[in-house]
Amino acid sequence: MSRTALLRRVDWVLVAAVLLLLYIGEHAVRVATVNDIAGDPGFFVRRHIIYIVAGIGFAVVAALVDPRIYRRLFWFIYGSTIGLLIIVLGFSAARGSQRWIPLPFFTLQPSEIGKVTMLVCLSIIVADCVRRGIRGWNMAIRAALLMLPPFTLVFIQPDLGTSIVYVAITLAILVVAGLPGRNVAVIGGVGVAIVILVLGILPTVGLPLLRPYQTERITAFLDPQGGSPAAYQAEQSMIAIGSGGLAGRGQGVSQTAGNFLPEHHTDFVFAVVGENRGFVGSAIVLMLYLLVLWRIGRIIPRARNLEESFIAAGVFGLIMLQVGVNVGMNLGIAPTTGIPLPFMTYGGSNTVTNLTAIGLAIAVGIRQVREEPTVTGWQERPRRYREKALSAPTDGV
Amino acid sequence: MSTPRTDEPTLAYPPPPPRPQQPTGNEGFDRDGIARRVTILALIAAVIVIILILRLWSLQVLDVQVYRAQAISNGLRSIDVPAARGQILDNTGKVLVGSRPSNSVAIDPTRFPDLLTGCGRDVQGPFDARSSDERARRIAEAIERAGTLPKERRAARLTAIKQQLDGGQTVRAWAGCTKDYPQLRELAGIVGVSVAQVEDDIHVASIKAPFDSIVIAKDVDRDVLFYLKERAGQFPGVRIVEGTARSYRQTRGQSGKLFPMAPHLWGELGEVSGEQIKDQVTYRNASAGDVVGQRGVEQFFDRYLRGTNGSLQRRVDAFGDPVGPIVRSRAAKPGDNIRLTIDAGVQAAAENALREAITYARTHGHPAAEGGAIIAMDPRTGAIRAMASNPGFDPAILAGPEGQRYWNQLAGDGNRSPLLNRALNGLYPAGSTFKPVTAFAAGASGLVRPDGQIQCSPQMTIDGQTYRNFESDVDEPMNMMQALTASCDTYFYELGKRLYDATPKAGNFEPQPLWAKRLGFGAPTGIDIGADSPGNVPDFAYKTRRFGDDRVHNRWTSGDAVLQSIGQGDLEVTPIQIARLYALIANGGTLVQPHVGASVYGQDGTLREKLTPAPGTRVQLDPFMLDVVRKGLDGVTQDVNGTAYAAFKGFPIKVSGKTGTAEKLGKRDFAWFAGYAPANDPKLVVVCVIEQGGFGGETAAPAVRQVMAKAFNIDEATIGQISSAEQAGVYAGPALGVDPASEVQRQDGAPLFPSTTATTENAG
Repeated sequence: MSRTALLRRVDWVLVAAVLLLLYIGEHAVRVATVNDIAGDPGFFVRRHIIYIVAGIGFAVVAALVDPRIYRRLFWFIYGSTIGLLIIVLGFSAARGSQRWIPLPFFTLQPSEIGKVTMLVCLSIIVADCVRRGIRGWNMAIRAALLMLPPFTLVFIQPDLGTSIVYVAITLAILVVAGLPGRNVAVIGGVGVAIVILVLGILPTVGLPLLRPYQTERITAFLDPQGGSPAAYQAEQSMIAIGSGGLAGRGQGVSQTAGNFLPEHHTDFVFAVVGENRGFVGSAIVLMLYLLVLWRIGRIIPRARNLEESFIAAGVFGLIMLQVGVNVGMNLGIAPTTGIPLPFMTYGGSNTVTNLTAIGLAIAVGIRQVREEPTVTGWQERPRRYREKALSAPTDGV
Repeated sequence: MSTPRTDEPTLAYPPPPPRPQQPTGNEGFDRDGIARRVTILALIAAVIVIILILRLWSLQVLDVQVYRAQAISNGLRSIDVPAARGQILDNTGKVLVGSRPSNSVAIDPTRFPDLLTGCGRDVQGPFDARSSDERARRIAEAIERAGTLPKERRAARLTAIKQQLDGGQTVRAWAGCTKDYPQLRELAGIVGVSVAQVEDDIHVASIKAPFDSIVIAKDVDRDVLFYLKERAGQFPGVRIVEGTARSYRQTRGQSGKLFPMAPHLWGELGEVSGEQIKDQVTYRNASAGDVVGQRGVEQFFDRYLRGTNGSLQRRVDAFGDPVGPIVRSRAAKPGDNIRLTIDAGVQAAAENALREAITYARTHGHPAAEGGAIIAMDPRTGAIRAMASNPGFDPAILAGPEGQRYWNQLAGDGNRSPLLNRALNGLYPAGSTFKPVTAFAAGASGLVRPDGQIQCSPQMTIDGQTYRNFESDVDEPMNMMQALTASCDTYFYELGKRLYDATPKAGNFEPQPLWAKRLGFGAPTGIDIGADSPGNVPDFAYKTRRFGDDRVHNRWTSGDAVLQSIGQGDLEVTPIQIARLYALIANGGTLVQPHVGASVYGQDGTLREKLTPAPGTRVQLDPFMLDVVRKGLDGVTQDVNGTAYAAFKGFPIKVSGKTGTAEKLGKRDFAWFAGYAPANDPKLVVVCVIEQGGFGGETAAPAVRQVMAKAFNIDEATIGQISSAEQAGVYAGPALGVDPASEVQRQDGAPLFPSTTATTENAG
């Protein structure tokens, strides 16, 4: 397949939606951080643009690399991710809670990288399961065994938000792989039980698994008037968004510029858009995310093989959960867990990670099987796919 | 993938050629199933987005007014919660300096937007020494704030402005301008502060913390508070700030009048200066804006008393009033209490005795008497039990709204010097109280045998200069003991002459000044509440320093030696130095470290730290000489020839001491008495000096007796009865001293000394 053919098959709608979100995010970071560093209004946005450019570079590379190569690199990918997570835990032990490995030009956040690498590894494992007819609990347990080490390492960093993202990726892939609904329901039930156990029961019997601030963040969401710092953040965010009204208050308004909105360029960047651009701007952002998800979802069943299908599914889950939880937290209906808003939140690791994930989805997309022309459209008839792209012997696994 | 080979026999129908089964790698790839499940995921995503958009709609469209109002009224204020300052306690735990509630009137600058930019004001430099730096800096900051200088040029501008102000130039500053706010002018009138003062306060405070309320009147009366509270609507933006202020213990004088107790000891509270912050020993952990002790106990124990300020951050509305819960708070850590060695009872007795002695002197031929000091000290440890200085002042007024004016008034009173702590910084001729030093010097130099007799003549001529004895009608031979008891000047002139003659003329070895310095004179004692004066011990080096190349005067002459032998001449001592000398005589040769700090207690009453003073310096004294001096001092109060016999007649505890009647050019005689009791086991040294108070035995000694009576729990009224009983021959009790064995090491909270009311010393 020639390069031009590849380019033609790039999902340009997806690319445009992501670029638009990047632009909106860059602008929000710009207006939010004008007063943050005295004498240098562009301090954050300059860095953010560099991260975006780097992220696009990673995305292009991810799109061009044939995903089949990942199977051969499986242990390398998995091993190095675990290795990095262990290293960061060492740094963490040395300097208190820390999620970064300091490098000369930037700080590396292995748990963010892990979102993409684990997604790829999990896709390969689940694809094997499906291929070998391993279904139901057997598949779920294999996936869980794979994900348990990175999940644990991230959870004890402690990075609650990212560990939740790992779970979401796993569930998304398993659901697409055909994990029966009752299994998903049981997993969900166990998850809820664990949350109740960790938040409610264990601390009262003297076995707290979470740091107090983590518990507080989650309970603060349940009690917004509680007066805790986390509740305060959520409240400020709601004031920012609410005060934006239908059309927004324009730039440089009180919540954002007056520094009342905490973390206005990271976790609460959506609130900046909400205050400055109002309901219209916020809704456009949400619709753009929906567009991104739709385009990724379109790719999943058309992937040329199971692995790539699941990679796209993982990316779908990754974006969906992050957007849902982050925006929900901005709107005061989800706990403050430190999950970034993809493509908009300031920060090197998460920008690069999410753009690389999009690159992976595009990589799957440009290698997808052709669609049979349909006459009456998508809704009326089940779709049929030709296996044409897989005719070459080397295409197999 | 190999093709299965078939070696089976040919069947009737040749089978179709085996079709290579190519694995697609997509076994089990149920695209339709996946598409179905992705549709479910997509639906979930759509539902999530719909929920979010509904929530957005609810926040941004339905409740926009609520949130917009909140956003406009939103504001976070960080408020310092000042730590409660620790109390200053006496040795039994009585509160000497405590805290009481105090209300301030403050205004909120955000309610008066034109206040800070309304009008320019000329600021004339330089400022007075007390506030120069801080004020100049703030005014300079105000100027550059009002202007639109870019940040990088501010530092240079600030320096320039400060230099201009220091150079006495006038700088135009944008200051608090009440022109447009008649209610502020009215408020100033109500709280009793000038409009200019209010403007200045607003100006200075607003620079420091632009959003904080500005205190314009501290410690306002309850009447003013009620007035303002009733008319809150009339004064928007005016707030009552609750706080604390220092409260000072008072002494009830003999006439029933109340006097502030020991005002000279405490010092004041004030904002820490830039220089003071650098001193992280005295002002441990102090940061800009902290209120710290200035001078005295407040300063030198500031690190214990201050505590750590807390802070709370809370949301306030556009009017600066707190709304909603506290967002973040750090509790203030109250300061520790400091327990002093001072005993409130003895202190009160000392102050009353001092005042009474002065009144006595004024009404008995010494009308100029006013200044004076009394020190009571434990000769064993150097623990100060009382330290009184007269005239005093009221620290409560100094801390109040009129403080600055009061301070200027006190500082300007050069004749009375009420701010001077005479016990530590009063410089006096020692007079006869210095004679033990001469005795030690001469004795140690082998120039006199204590039991040898010297004629105590009415006058004496040395090197053509005639020196008179204080008592002009005495002319008899005396030994050292008798000379001390009777305070014979000529005896000590003779010793001074001998000391002078023994001094090598070319050298600078002068036994007398050397011994004076050895016994603690000419240097500060290093007491723990600030620098005390070193005083002056004239010696060869002093003469040279003073008179330079003047060959006539820059010599150490016999006159210098003779005058110093009776504590006159250019000799200057402080009462604390004299107290130390008598403590040394009392304890047998240890130069103790005077101190007032005893221990530090937490607010919960737990002992935090015991303050141990530096150990005393041991001075090598001939025990025989020491004994002779002590016997001589015993005689002062016990012998009918003693100069303080009358003053201590009938006192149940045997007191040893020495009177002094020091002469100062152009002034009436200074009255001294320094003594310790009980004579055989001294537990308290008391020194009293009354400026221009006349004869020491008449003016100072009764004051010392009064202090000792209080310290040893002696009821003077009972003594009268005993004396009369004695005279009637009814009472002839045994001479009971205070039993040393019964004297347990003092515990905090116990009376200073066990009651000795019942044990009397037969004075006869």
